[in-house]
Amino acid sequence: MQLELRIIKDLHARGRHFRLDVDMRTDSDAVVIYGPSGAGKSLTLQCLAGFVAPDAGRISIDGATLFEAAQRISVPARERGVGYVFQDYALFPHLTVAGNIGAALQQGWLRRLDDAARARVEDMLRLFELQDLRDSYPSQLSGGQRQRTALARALATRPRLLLLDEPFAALDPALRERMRYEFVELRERFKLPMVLITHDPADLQSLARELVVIEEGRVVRHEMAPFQAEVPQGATALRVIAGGAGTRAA
Amino acid sequence: MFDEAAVPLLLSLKVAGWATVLALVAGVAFAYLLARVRFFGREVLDAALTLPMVMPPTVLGYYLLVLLGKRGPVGGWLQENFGINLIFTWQGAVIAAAFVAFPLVYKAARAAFEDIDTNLERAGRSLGFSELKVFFRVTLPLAWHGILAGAMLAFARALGEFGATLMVAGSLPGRTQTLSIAIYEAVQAGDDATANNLVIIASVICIIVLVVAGRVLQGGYRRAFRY
Repeated sequence: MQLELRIIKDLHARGRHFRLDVDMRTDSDAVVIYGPSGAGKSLTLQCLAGFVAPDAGRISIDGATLFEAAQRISVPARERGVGYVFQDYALFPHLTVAGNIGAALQQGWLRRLDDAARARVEDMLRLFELQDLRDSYPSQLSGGQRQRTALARALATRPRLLLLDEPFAALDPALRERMRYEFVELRERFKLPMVLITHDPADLQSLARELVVIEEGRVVRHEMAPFQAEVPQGATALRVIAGGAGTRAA
Repeated sequence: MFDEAAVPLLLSLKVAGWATVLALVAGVAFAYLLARVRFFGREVLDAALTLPMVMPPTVLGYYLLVLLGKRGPVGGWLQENFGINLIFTWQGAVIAAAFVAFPLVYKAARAAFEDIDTNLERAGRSLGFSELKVFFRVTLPLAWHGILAGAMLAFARALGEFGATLMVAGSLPGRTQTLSIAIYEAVQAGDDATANNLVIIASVICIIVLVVAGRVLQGGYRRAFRY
């Protein structure tokens, strides 16, 4: 996947000013955007998904323009074909697991699922081991089950790119390690390009092929795996990764 | 005796029912607009929409009379183009009650919309939902209980409407004399027996509406949705 991202976005809130000024280009299928909270990671992802319109810049995937300020092009989120997994998963609380997964596949006012859509929902339930939970509501699920439901819901629509906002932050540490492993498997199986944001250095080693570090709204570092140990600034976390397996397990 | 109570009661229910429908549609529309769209003068509009709740009903009634009267801008236009007159009709009473009840739906609906995690609506969009589908599949189902509770309070308020209704529709027995106006007339005429019956009926209906509204608001659904 070829992703081109040039975003300028000014935010003002209660007298404070934040400027996101990100410029990056990547050909990798596993990009991790890393940085402290408040650095502008989520905002970058929201611009890419089409939830937030940048003030200036250009966004394109595989040559298809999603946003171009100069030409006043802004493809709405629903037409971008970009899946999004939210930090808190944002499952529809009034729909069951199967309802959440099938929500995007329903057609018309009668909310019908055609045969292909029904088969797709079944595939997703099976793939994410959610068959027994098909009639459960999100409030009845554990953290890991919610995450699997959110992934299944996003993948059911066959997106061309999957965006993940801190996908493991809401899970407890033991589960986090397992989900990372499952995640890599999933990525290989679907051959689906992903952009993931995190502030957890442990995510980088297992998930990233390309690393983009954002601090205070700017890209301060951009490199391919394997990542270097020497990092000029804000880099305690990267030193931890470079430290190897011992620190990673911590 | 039964007719004395049944006629104004049925009229009151009819007027309050239609007023609630009008207030519901307008209240939900305005609530959605103000909860989701930022524009200049939003809070001023919010104050204006809440005004009928705090303004004396007679003042509201007077405004409506001026607006809807034969020489008023709206009333004159309706009379000229459609031959419709709203003053001293039950439809006029519906409009008066709808204005009085409107803020109750509007306030409840706005709170319910603002209570919804905007990421749920974004999730819908990223899944390819149209804005219409986002509203009817995500936003409305999640806000529905708050809106319904507001609508029930609006119904109770419309049922008890007196001041504005009297100004706009008057007190024509069998045509515009609603329950609360009939009570006033009965007391004025010294007809204590009728007044007693009507007062008890009105009280019972209000209690029923409040109990049901309370149930709806704190019902199991709301709790099950939170996580």
